[in-house]
Amino acid sequence: MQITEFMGDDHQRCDHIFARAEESVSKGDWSNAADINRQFVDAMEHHFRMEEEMLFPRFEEVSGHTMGPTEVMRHEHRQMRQLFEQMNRAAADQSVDDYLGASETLLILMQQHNAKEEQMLYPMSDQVLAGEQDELINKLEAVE
Amino acid sequence: MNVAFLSLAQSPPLSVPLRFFLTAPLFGMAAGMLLLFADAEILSNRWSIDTLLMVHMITLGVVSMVMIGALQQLLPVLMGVVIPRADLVSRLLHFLWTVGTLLLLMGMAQQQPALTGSGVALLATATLLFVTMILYALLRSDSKHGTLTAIAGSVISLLLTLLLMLWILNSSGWNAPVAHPLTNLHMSWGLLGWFLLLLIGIAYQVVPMFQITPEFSPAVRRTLAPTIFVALVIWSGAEFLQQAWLGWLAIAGLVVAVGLFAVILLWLQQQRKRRLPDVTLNYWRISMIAFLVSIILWLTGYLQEDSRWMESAVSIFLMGGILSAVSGMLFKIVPFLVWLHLNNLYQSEGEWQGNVPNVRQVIPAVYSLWQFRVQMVALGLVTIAPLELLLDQQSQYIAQAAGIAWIGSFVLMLMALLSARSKYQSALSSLSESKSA
Repeated sequence: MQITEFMGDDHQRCDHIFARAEESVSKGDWSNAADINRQFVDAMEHHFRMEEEMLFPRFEEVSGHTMGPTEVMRHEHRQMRQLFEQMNRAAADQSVDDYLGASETLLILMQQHNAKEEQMLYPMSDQVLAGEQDELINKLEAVE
Repeated sequence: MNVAFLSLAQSPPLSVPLRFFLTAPLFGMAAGMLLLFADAEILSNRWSIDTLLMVHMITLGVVSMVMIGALQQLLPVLMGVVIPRADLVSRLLHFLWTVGTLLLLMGMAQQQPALTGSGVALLATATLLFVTMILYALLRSDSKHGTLTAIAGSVISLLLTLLLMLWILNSSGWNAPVAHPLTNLHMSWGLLGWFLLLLIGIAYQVVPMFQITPEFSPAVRRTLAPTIFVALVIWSGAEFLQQAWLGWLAIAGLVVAVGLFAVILLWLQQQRKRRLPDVTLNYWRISMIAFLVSIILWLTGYLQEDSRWMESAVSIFLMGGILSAVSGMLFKIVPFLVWLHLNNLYQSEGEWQGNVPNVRQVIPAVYSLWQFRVQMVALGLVTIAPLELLLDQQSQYIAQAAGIAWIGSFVLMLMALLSARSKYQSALSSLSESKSA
């Protein structure tokens, strides 16, 4: 399996939870919404850990670029975490407007971020890390 | 390997696309005014100077204006290529395109070859600069996505549209003729090449992103845009070689490709995971329906050899198909850019949770919803106007009502964009206050 496919599938998994969270918030179904929101943020944080703890360091090591694309990806992770906080707060306050404002902002940021990873960074990783993809994916799967 | 692609400075300043977006509604309002005060036949008769003027106000002043601005923004984000001296290039392009369009329109209206010629000179300079820049950037991109091919086809089509315009004007003593043997080709390269191919390339990316739908299949992404481009080339060849059967072949290819694009996009949207009400989603749907309707009308006209159906098809294609998608994209792109730029600025100042308005606060949903409604009324009136001609009943009222509705829709669009800009500026000034405090 390729890194592009493995990590791309995980993006999709996060996207689907995201859509469910937004939907239950828009219906004002807070008993489920808070729970799905937590699932979503957990799934995203898990994805970020796979990248920040495993994929990015290995990519940087082999390609020799430490201030390049991975640094921008980390910067966008920080921006997304800031929006997670806003969503968590809105979920705690049960504020539909605040939640959907933050979530729609996140959606666009997250999608353009994912597109850059899926169309550029992951294929570059597959190229640079050819031969050790299976081993790396095993390690990615083991990330808690 | 090109690794500069994701540098932090990749997003050009907000003013780079925004100056184009803010200019477009002004040309839109001018087109609405023309509709309001012109003869009733403006919507049903393609062969008049007023119609020619109105079409170019929309195509050059509104749609191209937005697309040139948007591509300078989207290229770094979607294709990972940075445009050097982005702000300077944007100012220059904006000046050339705006003044060039104004001069061309004045030259057409007054049949003044000198004005027309100088307008064309400015537009041609802008086109050469823009197309060179985009193609150069695409060549340097690492992306293998179908979007890249579609955008390349689109800007090459823009160049060909310009060359055909030069040809037409040169053979008519630099007085824009209402009809010319090459008018159809010029129009087809503009509408199906420059506009539609760009829309297709953008759709590959943004439709799955914003509504969380399945992706366009790789086979579609690889073949759709090239099919349309090649069909346009064949059609052009058929016109020059006077080979009717070749023309038929090309037209069949175009009809199938455009129809497939619309059907696939609607089908993907049906499977969207994100089910929240969204004006951009509405606009994309209207756009695809308009493409399908225009194909049916065009084929009807072609088979019945009645050009009035075909003219109607063209107007629905432009005002319903192209313009709707463009309007929908503006309501998605602008709020996000305002948020992104403010967020980056606040972060670089070390303030993580500043007063950055989220996308729903930058342009409140009620603005975009009302803009959408008014634009749909305007589109409806433009769509039914030519039917009057078929019924042999002409009235001034529909064109006037359409004029008022178009003016209204562009005023609302401008207000939404201006309010986004003022939110940006007030957040900027509160940042500089907190810095000096």
